Amino acid sequence: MKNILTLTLFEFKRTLTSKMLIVYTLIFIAMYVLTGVIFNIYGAESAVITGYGQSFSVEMLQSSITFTAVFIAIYVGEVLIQERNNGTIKFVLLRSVSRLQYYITRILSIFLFSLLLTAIMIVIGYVVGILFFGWGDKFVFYSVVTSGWNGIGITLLSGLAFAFAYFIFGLIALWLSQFIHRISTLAMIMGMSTLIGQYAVIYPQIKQYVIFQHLLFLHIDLFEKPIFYNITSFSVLVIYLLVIGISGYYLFKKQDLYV
Amino acid sequence: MYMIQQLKHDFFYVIYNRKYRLVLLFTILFTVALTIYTAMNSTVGEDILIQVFGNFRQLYWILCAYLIADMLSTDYHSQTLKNIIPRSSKRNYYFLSKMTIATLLGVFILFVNLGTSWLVISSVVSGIEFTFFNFFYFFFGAVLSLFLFSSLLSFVMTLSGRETVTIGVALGLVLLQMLIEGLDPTVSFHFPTMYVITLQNLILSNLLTGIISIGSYLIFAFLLFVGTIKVFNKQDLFT
Repeated sequence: MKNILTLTLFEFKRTLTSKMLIVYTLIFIAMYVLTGVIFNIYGAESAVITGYGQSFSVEMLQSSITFTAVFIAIYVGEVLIQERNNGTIKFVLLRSVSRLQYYITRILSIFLFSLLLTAIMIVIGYVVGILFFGWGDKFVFYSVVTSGWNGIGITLLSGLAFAFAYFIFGLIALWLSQFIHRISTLAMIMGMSTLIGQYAVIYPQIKQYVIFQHLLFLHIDLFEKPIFYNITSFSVLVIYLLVIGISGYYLFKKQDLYV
Repeated sequence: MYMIQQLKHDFFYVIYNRKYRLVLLFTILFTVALTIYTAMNSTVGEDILIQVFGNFRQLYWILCAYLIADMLSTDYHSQTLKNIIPRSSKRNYYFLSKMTIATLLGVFILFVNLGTSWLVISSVVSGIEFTFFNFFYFFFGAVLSLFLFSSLLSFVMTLSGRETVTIGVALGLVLLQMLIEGLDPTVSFHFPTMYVITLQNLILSNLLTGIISIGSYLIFAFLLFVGTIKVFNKQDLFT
């Protein structure tokens, strides 16, 4: 347990001080500012937002699907592919750390990164939203209309659901990364999968079982759909977590990491 | 001489690397699927090829961002720069060759898409004369935008020295452009992701604007290339 904690914390600290995090933050700032500018110039029809500072943050989550997917894939590449390519994975595994413990730390790191990325987006959303539109007198998010702390609570809850969906997506990337040797290849595949995967969402029979549906709508469905629908969605994601997590570990266990 | 050697090296890297063949296969298969999807969901008319390309363009630019970033970062990734640089009398050739091959590869993918969609449509529909963009502007727009993007990513690669930063910036910039390209045409027509289809309009509607736009592309590409070389020449690549 101590090994897992130490390795996960190390990875998280490394992430906090990495150049990539600055790049992600800058790209998100650019994207949010552009959306604010577009709304101010062209009006509500051209942007997905309603123009209230307090709801800007949560409204912007959905529009970042491909960005977030690419960033998560790059992160997964950094925590597994890079360590494997540089040979540094051997230093960890030669100490008293089992492959299971190591794999769990990768999963936990992806979870923390998903939360961190979502937190960054929410904070940028609030700052840019307030700068462009002011706080506003109400919080509008689809059918939810409220204000003040309730709005902040909804944003945080929605952010948690959003981070959870991207965590599962990160696990899929982790599973796939065991067959890929370049981070750029993994990032491209995962980014393109979000563009192509959106075609699957067209079919109502299967869409609740497809990860791309949850990347786009889980954080919205939480407030728009009945409780049974949301329980099914979360169950689908938990099944993804178990199947991909366990099969990923077995793949990792069989890999030749000593070359 | 060194430039030709470097070009040959990069050319064979593309030829022998399996992932480039996979990208080609993916382009063909995806274009076939997209052509069928477009034909089924819209009225097949003279502009069907333009419609197919319109649907493919976003994915094309993600592919190009990947291909350019991959080409530029491969020696950084495998730490083989120190084996290549001492062979060259000037370091300029290294990036110039990479940028040239990456640009040509992007243009090649573009023509594969065009050829595949034309073949698919022609095999099921007869008696229609297809319209498409003017080939000269189409080709020139692709070369200019891909070369500018290559020089920009070369600059990022030399500054950061990291593959992850380069691919992050590449995909991030492409996605940002896509986000805003549907808005004001006076601005978005000049974006690299739009240039392949807008260059013709830019020049035909106002020659001066077109020339200024092309000139800006060339100047920015040149400045970024010079910046790259300035940084690259001073880097310690022998460790």
